[in-house]
Amino acid sequence: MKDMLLKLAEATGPSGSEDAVRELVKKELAGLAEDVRVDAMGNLLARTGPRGRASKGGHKVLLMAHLDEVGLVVTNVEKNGFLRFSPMGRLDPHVCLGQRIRFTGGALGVIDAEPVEKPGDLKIDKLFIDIGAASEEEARKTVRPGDMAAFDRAPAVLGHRVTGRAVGSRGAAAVLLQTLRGLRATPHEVLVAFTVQKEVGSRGARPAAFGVDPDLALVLDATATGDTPEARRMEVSLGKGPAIKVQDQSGMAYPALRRALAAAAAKAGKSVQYEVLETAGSELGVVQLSHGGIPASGLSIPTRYRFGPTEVVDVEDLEGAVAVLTQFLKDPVDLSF
Amino acid sequence: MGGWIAEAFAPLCDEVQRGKLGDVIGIRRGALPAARRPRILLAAHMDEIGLMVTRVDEGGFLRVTRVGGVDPRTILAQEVLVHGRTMLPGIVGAKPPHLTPPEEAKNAPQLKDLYIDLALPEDEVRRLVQVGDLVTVRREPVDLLEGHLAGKAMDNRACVALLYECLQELERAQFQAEVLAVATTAEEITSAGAETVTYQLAPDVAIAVDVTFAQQPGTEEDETWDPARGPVLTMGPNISPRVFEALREAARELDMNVQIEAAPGHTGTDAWSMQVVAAGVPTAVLSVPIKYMHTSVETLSLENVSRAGRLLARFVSRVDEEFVKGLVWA
Amino acid sequence: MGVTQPAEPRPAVTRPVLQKFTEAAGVSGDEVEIRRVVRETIEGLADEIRSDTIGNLFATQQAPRRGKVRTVKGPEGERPLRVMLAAHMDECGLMVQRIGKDGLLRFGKVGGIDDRVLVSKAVFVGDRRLPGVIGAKPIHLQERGDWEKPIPYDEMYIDIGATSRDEAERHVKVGDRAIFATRYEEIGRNAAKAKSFDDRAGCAILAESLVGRYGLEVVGAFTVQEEVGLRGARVAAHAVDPDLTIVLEGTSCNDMPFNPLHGQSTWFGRGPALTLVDSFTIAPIRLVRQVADLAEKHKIPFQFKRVTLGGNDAGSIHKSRAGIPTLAISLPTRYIHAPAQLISLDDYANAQALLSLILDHLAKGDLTL
Repeated sequence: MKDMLLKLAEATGPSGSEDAVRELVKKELAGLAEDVRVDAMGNLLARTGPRGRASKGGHKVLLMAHLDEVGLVVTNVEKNGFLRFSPMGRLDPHVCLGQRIRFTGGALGVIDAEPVEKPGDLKIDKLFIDIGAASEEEARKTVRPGDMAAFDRAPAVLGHRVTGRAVGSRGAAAVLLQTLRGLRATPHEVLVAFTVQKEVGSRGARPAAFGVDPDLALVLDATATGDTPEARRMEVSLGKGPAIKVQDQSGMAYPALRRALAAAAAKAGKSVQYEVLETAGSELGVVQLSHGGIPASGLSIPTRYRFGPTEVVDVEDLEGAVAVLTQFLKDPVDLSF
Repeated sequence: MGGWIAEAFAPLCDEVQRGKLGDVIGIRRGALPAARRPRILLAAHMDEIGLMVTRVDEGGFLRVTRVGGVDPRTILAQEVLVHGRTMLPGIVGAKPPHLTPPEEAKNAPQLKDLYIDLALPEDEVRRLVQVGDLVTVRREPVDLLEGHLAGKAMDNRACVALLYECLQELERAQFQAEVLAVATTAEEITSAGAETVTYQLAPDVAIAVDVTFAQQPGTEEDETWDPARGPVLTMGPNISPRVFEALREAARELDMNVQIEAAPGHTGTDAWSMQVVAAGVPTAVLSVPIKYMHTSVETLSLENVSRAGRLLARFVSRVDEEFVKGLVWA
Repeated sequence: MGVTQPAEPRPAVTRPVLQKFTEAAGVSGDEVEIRRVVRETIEGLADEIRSDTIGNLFATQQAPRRGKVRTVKGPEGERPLRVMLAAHMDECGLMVQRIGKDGLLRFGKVGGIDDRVLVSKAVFVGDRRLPGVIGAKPIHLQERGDWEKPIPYDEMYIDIGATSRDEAERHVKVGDRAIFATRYEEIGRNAAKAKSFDDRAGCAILAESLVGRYGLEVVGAFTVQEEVGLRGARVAAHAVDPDLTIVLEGTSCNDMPFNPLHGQSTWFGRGPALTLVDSFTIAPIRLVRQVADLAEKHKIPFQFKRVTLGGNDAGSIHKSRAGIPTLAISLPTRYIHAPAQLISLDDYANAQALLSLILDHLAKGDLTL
């Protein structure tokens, strides 16, 4: 699991430019699933399990994890060779300061800012990127408006934890892959969607859910924790197991699915936590609204320092998530209220 | 709640179904054969605002977050019910006045400072309650003078009751259309219930029945409505002008006064989501004015509830195939 | 001894479509008049013209039976590639919410209008276009401190000259829309002034493109309610279910030299703008680059939009159904969402040329989706 996560977290994939991550996941999917294809938005889709709902209590299940990470897009190239940019997703200007970034084309840059009077005055439009060009002409040889970049930070191991950009969401993708790897018998037709553009408003998830039209869906993603000094109150901590999604700012999870996940956890002998996220949303909301309504919940990976270059996850939480998800898929699911 | 409403609707409907996300759909079929019957969706949301447990704190006190637009100032000192393994009565606590320094008393309580006291020891609370459990306000409805009723969740249970009134009126009416009386879920968060049910049922018309702001002290005259002057009909981009006219005609036929609200954008109701489902649905909004919205003493006039129910029934009886054809623009 | 009046300036090249379209009324939710004007203009240019229940107008050109047609594989075999061209008919405006005892009209804003552009402007109210003016307290009677603050719209009112509620109610009613009383006029050098180039200019480009026929199925979608949340387009995308959409819009243009470069968005007169990223959409970059290469090869001036704020119908179209590749071509519009907007007629002509080029090459199979 650790190796899979480290591998996935190497690739750079800001929202809208997820190609590198998608290619990596596509390679891993070979042999694990059938009908691997990419839709019009760029979502990577595949399926496994019996076609149609083979057994009683079997459903068409959609499992979703996103490929993208927060990043930036170049909007202007200035005469002196500096670049201006806009955020793609939740980018904190203070976290950007002094960071190295990598463009999807491979070029590197560093971010600094115009001087401000107070730290609170630091906004994105005061920041700029230096790619080492001495003039606009030189800069344009490497980078153009529209090019995208993400933080340049390779993942690293901290004991049995891993740190790096996007390790939370890549961890969720790794959980999905490893679950497919270990999946034997299941009564469900399992559809997987590795989506794009989640960090800019779950844009990939909406068409993916529409195209698949499942009976139920589980969203796998990172969630925040409340276990760092003076943290905002949240009952999720690193190392205490995956978190069953109850509510986030995009919506509330379907109660019967929460219960089914809890039962699966108990059966698998794994401890779980409960996610009530007050500071962010997820793809849960848009998936639920598809067609005549799709009952949905999620299994979330506790992640410290989300949306920055130094996210931290615990490998044991990832392994726990695989066990719970595998058990969940083994049994029929009762969707009644 | 869903189950209870389904039972209440059942005797007045030909069939009661549930939507995928829990909505209750009461179906009442009119005279025309299925292929030609205009389908009218009437949506009243059954969910209420409330709270959700985020932590079992030291001493067994519960910390909470909001579900829907809860004003923390109205929750302080409120009696609540925690939906744990069993229903547990509790009180939303705060520091007693004697121990509150004057500067603090000047500030409104924030949600993060509030807690729920169940009067149980911590280990017992941990056994019965978990993160994610829902909390609702505990308030019996209060009969006030002049036919007024106060209670929590008048927004929007009063409108579910209004649908019930409409179904009752239809027992004695002639009509051609098919009425889908839906008690929707999740309006207070995302209108997920209304949007998905509309997709599933594909109606020709959808009317959201909701509450609006009645005149009360501290509100501007042009932001609020006089409950004595009848239900409120909305017009604006979220509203089909043809459906609006038909509702206004129905009111004239009943000699009923209605008030007109001009909404330049989002109406704050299920109609906003329903209008743009699939290939589009002509929508309208009918509102009952209530005082003290989103508090536990939302107050309305019962007469308005039955007026609005009768208005809907009259509208239904005017809807025929010609009307549906006329909903497509030239 | 009389004063010699200056001679009336001779009109430059007349653009009847642009004038008709911009002067028509059609505030979001009340697009009846503009829809009629568009419909009359495109009569005979499509195989089928119809509306839906929210007010979108669709003009469908079936693929020609002879000649080269680009096809895609559908569930029932090969079918012509379906392209939707989208432009929105609605404009920002005002809505009468209350008629005061004093005969003055209190209003709400429909669409994103900055309060600061409202005061002291002329409007037409209702279907009968009753003239009115937007008034507020005169500067002489305001406190010095108030001069610094913009007047919020709810302290303004429309004055139609009535002095009592009864008098006002004989001419207008609650719910009536008000449009800016701006006339179309060609001014400056190759520029035009009017209200609502955003997006009547896009509608004009769309209407004029239907004069041609291409080896494709082309659906012209004149959408409604873009200004209140991209709503007509959402419905249109679901109903039409195209393989590709091209959105024709007006976009911000703040290219004054004293504005910081990275806040200018687009240049006036340097060609239509292609969007890479805006508030609601990330464009399909490979397609955009192909279009840019095509424009360069054929020497059609174009630019990229240089801010990521703002949105258009692409925002709801591209996420519709199972995802629809969507491109936006925008006309730089100075003073967008204000009563008097400005476009370059060169940009307009180049936008038309670019659209033609794209449709031609799409039909030939040169552009890959």
